[in-house]
Amino acid sequence: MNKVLAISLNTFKESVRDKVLLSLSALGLFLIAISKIVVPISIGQANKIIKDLGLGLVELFSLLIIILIGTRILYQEIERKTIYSIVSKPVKDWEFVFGKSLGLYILIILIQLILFLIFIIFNKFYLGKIDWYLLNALYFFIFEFLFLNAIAVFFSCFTTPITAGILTLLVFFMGQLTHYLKDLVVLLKLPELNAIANFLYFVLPNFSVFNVKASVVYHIPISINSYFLAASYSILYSIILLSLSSMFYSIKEYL
Amino acid sequence: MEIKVIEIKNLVKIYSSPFMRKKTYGINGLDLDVLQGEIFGLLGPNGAGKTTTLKIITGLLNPTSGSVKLWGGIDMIQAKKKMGFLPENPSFYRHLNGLELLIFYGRLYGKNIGLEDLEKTLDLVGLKKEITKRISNYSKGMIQRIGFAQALIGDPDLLILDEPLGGLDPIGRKELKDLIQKVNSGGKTVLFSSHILSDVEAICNRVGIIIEGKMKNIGYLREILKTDIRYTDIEIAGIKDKEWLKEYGKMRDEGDIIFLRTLDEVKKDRVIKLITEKGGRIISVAPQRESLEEHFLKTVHE
Amino acid sequence: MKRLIFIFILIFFLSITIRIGFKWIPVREGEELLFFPSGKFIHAISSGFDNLIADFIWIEAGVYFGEHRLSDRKYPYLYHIFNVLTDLDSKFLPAYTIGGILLCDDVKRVDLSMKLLNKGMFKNPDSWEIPFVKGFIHYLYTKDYIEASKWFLISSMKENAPDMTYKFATWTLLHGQGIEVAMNLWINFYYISKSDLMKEKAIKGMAKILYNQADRFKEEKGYFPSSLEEMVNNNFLPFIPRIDSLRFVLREKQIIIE
Repeated sequence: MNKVLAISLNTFKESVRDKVLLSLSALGLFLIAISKIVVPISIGQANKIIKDLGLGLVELFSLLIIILIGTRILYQEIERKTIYSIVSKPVKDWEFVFGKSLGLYILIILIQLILFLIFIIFNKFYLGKIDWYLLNALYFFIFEFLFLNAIAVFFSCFTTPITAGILTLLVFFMGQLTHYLKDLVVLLKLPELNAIANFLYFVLPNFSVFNVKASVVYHIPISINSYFLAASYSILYSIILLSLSSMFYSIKEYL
Repeated sequence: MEIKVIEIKNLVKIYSSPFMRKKTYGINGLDLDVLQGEIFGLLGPNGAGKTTTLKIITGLLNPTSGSVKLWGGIDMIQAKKKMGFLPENPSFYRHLNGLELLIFYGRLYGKNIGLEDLEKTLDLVGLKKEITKRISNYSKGMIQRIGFAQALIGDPDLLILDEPLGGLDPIGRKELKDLIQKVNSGGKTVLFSSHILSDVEAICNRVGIIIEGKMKNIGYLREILKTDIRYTDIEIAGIKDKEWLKEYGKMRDEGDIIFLRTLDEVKKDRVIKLITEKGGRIISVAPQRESLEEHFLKTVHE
Repeated sequence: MKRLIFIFILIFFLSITIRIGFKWIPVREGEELLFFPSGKFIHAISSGFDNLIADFIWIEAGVYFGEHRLSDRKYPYLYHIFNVLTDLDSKFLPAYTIGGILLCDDVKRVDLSMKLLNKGMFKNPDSWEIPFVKGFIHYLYTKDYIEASKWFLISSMKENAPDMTYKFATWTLLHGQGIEVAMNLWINFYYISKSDLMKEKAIKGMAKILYNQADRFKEEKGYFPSSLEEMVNNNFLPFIPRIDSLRFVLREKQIIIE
């Protein structure tokens, strides 16, 4: 565990200096800060729109960071040849993969916390009060991005960062619609496809589990089950993906 | 009983492109033993398979066939705990400084190495003064040194160095060679590859010459090179009458100093005696055996 | 860092260019919103950012409405916009309530208004606002007082419904076409609205009632009333309305808001 933490700390320190990451964070911060500009054109719905905008921006920028950076963290080690000094040490493949993932994940959570904090503070300025219920969204974001990070790392094991980024983005989009798969089968009246649809429904990542933005803005109560589901689904799936990634690394060669 | 730290038998490494049927043999049936406590030099032309061999030993590459045993066949993770590796043209995390880098690698050995020991290692490689300098500001020589330091950090029994002297200036090379000998005298086994034959000749006990993925020649230096003296260079001063010296060998007159090369051991002994009798002074006597370079070139062309 | 600032500046100028430049291209009737797809389609591709996209569409709805209000006063796609919006964010109550009012008042399509409001009630069964607006529309536009009363009553039975919903249910039932009910409806409408647009409608609605009553006064009495007080004294108005700090005044045959 010590080795995992050592690698994650190193990855954290390295990624914190990444220009792309800093630019994205700055941009996210900037946009949240200027969200006030929607007030005059919101036709009385400034409250809702500013909240939607803030939540959307936090999620969008975290997604961008994962796609642009999460897909490179392993690839970079190989490209820069710093991996030689790691693989030749008594470090197991899973320790390396988990360590790298964890380092970036911690950084993303930190950025989300900062963006969220700014978001809440600006809420107070623009809307007069802090809506603490919004913090529920942060809980779900934390697990959503644990999952996405694992997906990005998984794809980056066997393809280039750009392709991995595109695939991750695709999975994110499709993951919002997996719950439609079952409906589709009924709609098309093709019971033969039921087995395939069921299989896809279970295998494909289901991101609607983490999408509580509407509930949070409208103060609709979120069931306790949802909290457990988000956490357990995310953790289990991520461990599986990272373990598969470790397997890739165990057979990888470094020319 | 000599303990074999590394035992390689019939190692084969094939590179095959998935789209082309063409197969390239990186290593084609290599045998190699490295004994405990020795400094073993791996020589070969570019593309011979030196780096490939070292990478297979350190686990960066997988062999296609053949056997590679470390310390009799222990588990790879256990072997890596006892091993330190310096890759060719090494690259390290640019955002860290020397000390942070060693702390990081130390933790990868599963050890929390004390600050004192780390500073000692940095001092050993001559980087103590640059302790807070970022790796991004390191010169090539400093990178080699920190590379050596990270290979030493786990106090390994075996050091594997791929072209450790590459890119260093003569002072740097001398210092690193001394370092290698120093750690070896402390009981560490060293396996290193190099192009610089004179360096290999200077510090290795045994050498192996790899040509096209096969070990062409392996053994103790003194055994590989012909032990017969091929010629002797004598540096003479204080002789006015020089013509008679030509009888004993090839002469080069540089005014005050005369260089004489004799091919015969018997003639050498006699001419030395005569020079002394005639009042001349012997400045130096240098017997020349076959150099490693000459041997190496001969092997390559065979 | 410099490069980043430079790019921001470029984006700023580009956005201005698009805003100004695209207006110069004359819009052919029917071309507008040609590529504004159905809500379900947008939902499929919006991937978890439905609410945010709904917000942008809301803002676009405001722009669309505003532009046409200042020009041809025709809003052929207004229903479509609100329909898409509510597909993406079914809990966005103002989309139903404000949309319902605009479809009635400006587009003059009560059927579309009802369609939208019914959709809203289906998706938000606990909302008191939507049935209230239905009652409102029936009272002021379709003049179906029984229906109006029914919807006010339904609204009053929802959790968190304000007392005035019940008041209107009973008033409507008792007084039918009562000016007092209508005036109170507009006053309450003003206070429950959050947007300037709806508040403006409330003021205009009130002003229209006052003017209509002034017309009735003239028809019956033969002369135009000189003030609202005169209308109250002659039982043509139950009271002189005040909304917030705004006073309604009858001056030179015009209803003026001060």
